Amino acid sequence: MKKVILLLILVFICTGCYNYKELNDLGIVSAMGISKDGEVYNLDIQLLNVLDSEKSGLNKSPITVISGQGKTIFEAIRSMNKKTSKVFFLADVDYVFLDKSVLNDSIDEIMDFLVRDTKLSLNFLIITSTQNSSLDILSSISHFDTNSANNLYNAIINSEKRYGGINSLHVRELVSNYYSKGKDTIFPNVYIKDTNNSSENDSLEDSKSESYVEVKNMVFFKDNEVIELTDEETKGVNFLRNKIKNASLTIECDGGYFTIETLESKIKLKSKLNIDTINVKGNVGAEIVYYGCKNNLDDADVLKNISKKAEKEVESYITKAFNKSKKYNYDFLGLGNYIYKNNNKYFDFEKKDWNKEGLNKLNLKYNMDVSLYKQGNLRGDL
Amino acid sequence: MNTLDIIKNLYKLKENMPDLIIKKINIGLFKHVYVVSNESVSSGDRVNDFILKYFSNKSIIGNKVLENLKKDINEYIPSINFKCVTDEKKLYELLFSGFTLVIYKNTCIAYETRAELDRGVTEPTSEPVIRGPKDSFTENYQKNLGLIRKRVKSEHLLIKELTLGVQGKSKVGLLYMDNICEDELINEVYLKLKNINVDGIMDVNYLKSYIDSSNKTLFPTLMYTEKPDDASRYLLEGRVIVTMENSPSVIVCPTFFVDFFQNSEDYYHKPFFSTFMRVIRLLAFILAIITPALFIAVISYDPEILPVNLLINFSIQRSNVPFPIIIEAFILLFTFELLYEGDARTPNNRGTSLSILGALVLGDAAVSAGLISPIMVIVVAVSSISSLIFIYYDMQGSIRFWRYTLMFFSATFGVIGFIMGVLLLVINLCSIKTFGKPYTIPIFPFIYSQQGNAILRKDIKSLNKRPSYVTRKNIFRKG
Repeated sequence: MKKVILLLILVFICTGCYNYKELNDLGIVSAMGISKDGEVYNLDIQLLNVLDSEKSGLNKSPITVISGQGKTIFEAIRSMNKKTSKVFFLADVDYVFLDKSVLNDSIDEIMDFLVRDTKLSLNFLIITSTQNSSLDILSSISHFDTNSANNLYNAIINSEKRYGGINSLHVRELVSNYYSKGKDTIFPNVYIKDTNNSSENDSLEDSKSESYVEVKNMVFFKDNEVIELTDEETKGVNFLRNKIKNASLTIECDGGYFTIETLESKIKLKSKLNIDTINVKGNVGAEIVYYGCKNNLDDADVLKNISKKAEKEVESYITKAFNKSKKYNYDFLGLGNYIYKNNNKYFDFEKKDWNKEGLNKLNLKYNMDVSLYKQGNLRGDL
Repeated sequence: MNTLDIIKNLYKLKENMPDLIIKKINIGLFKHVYVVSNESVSSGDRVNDFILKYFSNKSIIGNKVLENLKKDINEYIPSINFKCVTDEKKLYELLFSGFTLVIYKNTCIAYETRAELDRGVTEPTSEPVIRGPKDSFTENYQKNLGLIRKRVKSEHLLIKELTLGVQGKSKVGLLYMDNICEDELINEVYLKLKNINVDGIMDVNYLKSYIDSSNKTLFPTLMYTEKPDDASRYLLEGRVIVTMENSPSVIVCPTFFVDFFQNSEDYYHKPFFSTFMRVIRLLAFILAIITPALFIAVISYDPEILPVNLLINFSIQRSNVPFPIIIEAFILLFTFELLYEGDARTPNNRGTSLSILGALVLGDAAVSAGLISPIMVIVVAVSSISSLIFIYYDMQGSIRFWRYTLMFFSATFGVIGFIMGVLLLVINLCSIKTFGKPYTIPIFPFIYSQQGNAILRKDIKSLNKRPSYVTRKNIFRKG
């Protein structure tokens, strides 16, 4: 009996102290935007509205964006408590927008914030924009999803998997790139596409969203300069990093062009000691989805020819990306990291700068194999 | 024993007991026979037909002297059950249990002229069945024995009888199969019953706490049933059945945890289906206990677990509710408890208004009034419906207790508290012993050979062994 009484007393003493929060007090943060104005950080936060709009009749918009300033990011967050009664709930953040003003500078402080704060679950994407400010991107509403941040998140993931021209940047990848050697980061670049002017027909207005956030391409920042990657170069990066699943490649042939969709892709790197060449060995499985060439597909030689052309195309993507990284001394392909891990006697990463001294000497040698699994129902062009 | 005193006492008693009938019959000139009966417990027809008729014939015939009443009666009165009474206390007991006393000179003989004071065999009300036998025990002790004997026509079905209650004097019977049931079990139950010293026992459920007094738990350690087919099945498994007059149910000892998840109807279905039903019952047990507690813990301490869309929905629903979630849960559960108790005690013809009111209040009005959120209604409904699967009232009681305990733990310590509470529950469950055996047998300790009829159920043909944790005396279900 004494034990029971003791337990009851304990229960009453401890009632509701530890980490208790009411659900209606939470402000669910779906996206954050960090920019820098001189020494002061400017933080924008996208909150999901949890008011029953039918009953309250207040706010019909699904999101609210508020901003705060502070010397550190944490201070900026807390300064926002002056504006809202909500306690910020950071576990469901879909993306963090890093402004170019931040990325041009050192990202040490941001890394510290992302990794140190335990409330933030490391499960979101990093994006940036060369055209729009953080506030603009965060306040745009999606027509596909009430949670617009979630929509953008899925759009990036989808375009990486199904299109290949975009590379998603997960926060864990950013952190690992930051700490590993010979690997640099490229950022997805979004912008607000304004279709306001083009709508002339009234009946189209409802179905055409007036403006929406679109992922444009991948960018990186080097010496206060913004360098954009073309979609082909990004595909090259994705091929090399084995991130591609379904990507469409459109290739010219005699008298037209054809499109193949990759079904699987596996690329392995191999290098020999002290030789400046990395062998890129790849197996790509693909399917013909459009064929506008003259030769009939029943012919085995034609198929072989097509495969060869596709191999060349994949090689050219990687080469283009490789040349760009050489040109700007920015190893976003992660080749330096490969050498650091597998062939570390080749280059002394501790004393020398890989981007300046090592990358330029490197060459790539290809051994690609594209196999066409399916040719579709048609044997030739129409 | 002085019969004159007895007659004097009886006349004295009659002053304040109008249903006592004392009839003085003159036989010859100076000889009197007293016929005493209690008209509320004895059947007047029987007294008339068998006893009074006989004596009136005697008196008409006239002077023939009754030399030996006992011998006479033995030969001429058509009754199978009569006793020669020598003890005054015993005399009253017989009188009030429906016997008619015939007192002549120094002899006192009691005839069984009991009236049928019970309803007939009806359908079971607290354990309804869809298929299978639809008879149930009644308040008549002999009838109950008959219902069991009808099913087990064996010379091994024995009964130990005792009378309990100083004033009530109720007959209690201990039924067992002497070739199956272990002797220690019989003796243990018998001794415990024998040591009961109380003035009256109204129902067999009174005996539960006497038979099993050692366990400090809210889980039912003894099962009651009102179905003779269930009782017979348990008898054949080697268990002891305690039955009592005036009680329409019997107690089964020993009872284990898995017994509450089994049902006689399980054996009518294919093994797969009855296994499925047993798993559903087990799930219902778990859901009934943990749902509100888990919900409270997750919502108020770790909302990170939930998908964001669900979190927004919950948040929108909660935005109109001014109370903390634990208060909200208590409001709803308390209302449900009121409804539940009210429904159980309301006469059938008034139940409709209750259910309409309950549906309106709980389902809609409370939500619109901003008192509770719709998701809370769902959580409480899931938990309550799951607990209603258990027809045993005791089991429901323990489920309710643990539901509230876990809710309390969850509200104070979050998921950690919830896990603490579940641990306590498991510890409590595993520490119970019934008649020297673990309550959770055969799941814990795990007995592989008994899994065919615990939560899983094998084909009835291959269930040829009795549960080894009940009896080891006669293992095979043959002979």
